[in-house]
Amino acid sequence: MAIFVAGVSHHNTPIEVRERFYFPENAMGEWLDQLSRFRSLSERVILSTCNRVELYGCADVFDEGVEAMREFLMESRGISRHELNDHLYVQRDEDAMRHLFRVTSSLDAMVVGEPQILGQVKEAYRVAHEAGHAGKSLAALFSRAFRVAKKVRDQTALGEKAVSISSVAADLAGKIFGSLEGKTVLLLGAGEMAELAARHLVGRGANTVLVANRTHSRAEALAEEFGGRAVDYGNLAAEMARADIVIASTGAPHTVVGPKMVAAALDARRDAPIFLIDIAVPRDVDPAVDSLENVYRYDIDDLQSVMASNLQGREEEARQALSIVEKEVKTYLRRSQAEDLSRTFSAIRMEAEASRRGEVEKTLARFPGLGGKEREAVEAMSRAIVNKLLHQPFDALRRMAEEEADDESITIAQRLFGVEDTSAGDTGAGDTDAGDTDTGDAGAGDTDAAGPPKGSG
Amino acid sequence: MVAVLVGLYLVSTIAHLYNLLRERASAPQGGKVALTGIASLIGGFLLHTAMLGAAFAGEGGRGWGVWLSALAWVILLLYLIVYFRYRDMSLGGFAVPAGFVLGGYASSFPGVWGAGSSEVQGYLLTGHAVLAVLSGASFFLLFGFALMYIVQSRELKSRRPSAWLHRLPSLDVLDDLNHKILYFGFAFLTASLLIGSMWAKSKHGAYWSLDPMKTWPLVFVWGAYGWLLVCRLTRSWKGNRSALFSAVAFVAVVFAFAVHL
Repeated sequence: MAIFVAGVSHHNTPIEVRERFYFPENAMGEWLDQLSRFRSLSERVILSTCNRVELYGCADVFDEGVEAMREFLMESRGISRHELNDHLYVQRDEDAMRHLFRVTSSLDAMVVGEPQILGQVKEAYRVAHEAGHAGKSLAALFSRAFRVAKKVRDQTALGEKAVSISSVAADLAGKIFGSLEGKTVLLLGAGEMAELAARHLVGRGANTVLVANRTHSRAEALAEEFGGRAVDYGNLAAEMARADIVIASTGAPHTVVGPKMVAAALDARRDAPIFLIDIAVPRDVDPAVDSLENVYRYDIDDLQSVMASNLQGREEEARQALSIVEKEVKTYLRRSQAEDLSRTFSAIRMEAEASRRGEVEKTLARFPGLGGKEREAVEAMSRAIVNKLLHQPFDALRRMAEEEADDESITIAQRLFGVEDTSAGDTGAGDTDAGDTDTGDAGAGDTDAAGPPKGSG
Repeated sequence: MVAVLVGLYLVSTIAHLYNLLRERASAPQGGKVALTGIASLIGGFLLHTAMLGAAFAGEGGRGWGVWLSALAWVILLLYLIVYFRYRDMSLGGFAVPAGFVLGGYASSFPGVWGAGSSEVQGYLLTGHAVLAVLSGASFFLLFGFALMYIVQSRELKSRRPSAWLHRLPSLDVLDDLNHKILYFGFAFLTASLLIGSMWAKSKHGAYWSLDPMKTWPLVFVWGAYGWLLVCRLTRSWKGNRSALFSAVAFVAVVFAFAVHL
């Protein structure tokens, strides 16, 4: 039994190829059904976002499972085998687990720490789980991944600081106004960047958007998008008093907002704070407004410098998060190894007990005259022999498993005692034949590096 | 008992300071640190309540220590109310350490929790002292939030904010608290002054019979906060100016209380 992932992501596949892999989420159930026709895959989850398309699966024979996924991608997405070889990466067992942990914790994202991915993975898993496509193995893997993501979120500040101009502006607005609920945003100039910034502010609760633009029709069009109102560009001073947040982005060669205008607005607002976001070059807001109390002015350089320092902090947090993921992978492996071990032990014991009982019964049948005491003595002796014989190998096996990172000793023990492959599907990464999982990050398309075919028997 | 109380407050103080000073931006609320800080504070506070209740219910006099301890109790009570309203631990960054220091210091007075000398007697004087404690605690919180406002405003004004930007609450929250606590502090101080003068009348036969050096600073403090209140209500004294005024006025409070006692 092997768990693996095959997919493409922003790391090595450009958008024009990635978009052809994309599975629209509204038909996800049907895609999963189609994939389930490949019998070699026992479980399956499809994760499809704008940055990655990944198929998680479980198969008795790793190579057959991967081949099923390839065929599915070729059939359903019309992708050629040649393209698959170029772009598709495949990872199995420990590497697949590590990969999913990283993806879910937003460590593999284009913008590391962006929060959406966790929800997307949860949704992908939920859809597969509800339709019965995700069984025990993937359930264990994904629920572990969600716990790791929570741990990363709780123990690091990854994703807490804004790393775009618009989100930095929205963060600062939050530090001035608290909740942006009920706040008014005035857009001076109707540029794309101003629109983006306004969208962030509205996303955090700002509910009135005023737009002033030299070309009034453009102002009206943009105002309509936000359900706001276009205002007269010539009458800025009056509109200013209404605005808590001003986003200036006109193409004017000189400043548009000066200290006099702002002072008048403050007066009319009874000194309620004003946040001036000046993203125009040359600047729209006269820096002289800084001398006014309760006025906070940020130009594009200021916003960029805040962003840069946030990014720097994020790198440190990402390092910390990666070490959390690594620790979790190790814990998970150790646990599944322990489960493998105890399963192997009980299988061997059962086998031994069956032989013992058979032999004892055979012997006792030949001596029908034996009394209860004698029979008991024979039983006890046979048990003692079995226990004695098993004690030493079990002990050694336990020690070997502790020393080694992989499951080789368990596999050998299973072969020695003839109890191979006992319901290995019960645990996630506990692949009984995964003696060579340690292949590092399997690169794009090189499935061969991920391990030889499972030749049991 | 006292050791348990001081211990709990110490744990809470460490948690609050850690939360405020750690390098990470905006602490995830509800983490282990928050849980430790708030749980130990509530535990200590309940014990404190019981001990104060016993001290006030018991026979005999109550020394200064009890009143000092009561001041710590009120500061922590106000912070707990604020915490459950805003769910922001950084607001307790100064209130909890202050409660710990005051409470701990008060506990070192001899005879705090039992009988002792009785400096404050009679219903009028007790009422006067209770209200004075309430107003003192309010003004202390006002002072703390005002300092936070000034620092946060500086951070934002600087346009190159440091980590404090993330550690401190938003200006809006701080200004809102300034406004609300000012009401309470002023009301408590007014009532305390009125009852105090009634006591003076009953004892000395005149409303203003104490040494002017002892009373005038208090009247000045009362006037200052009253003026701030009026300015906030009628004129546009929002934000920075209000914060600066509250911070400076607290110095006068400390001076006035010191000479009054």
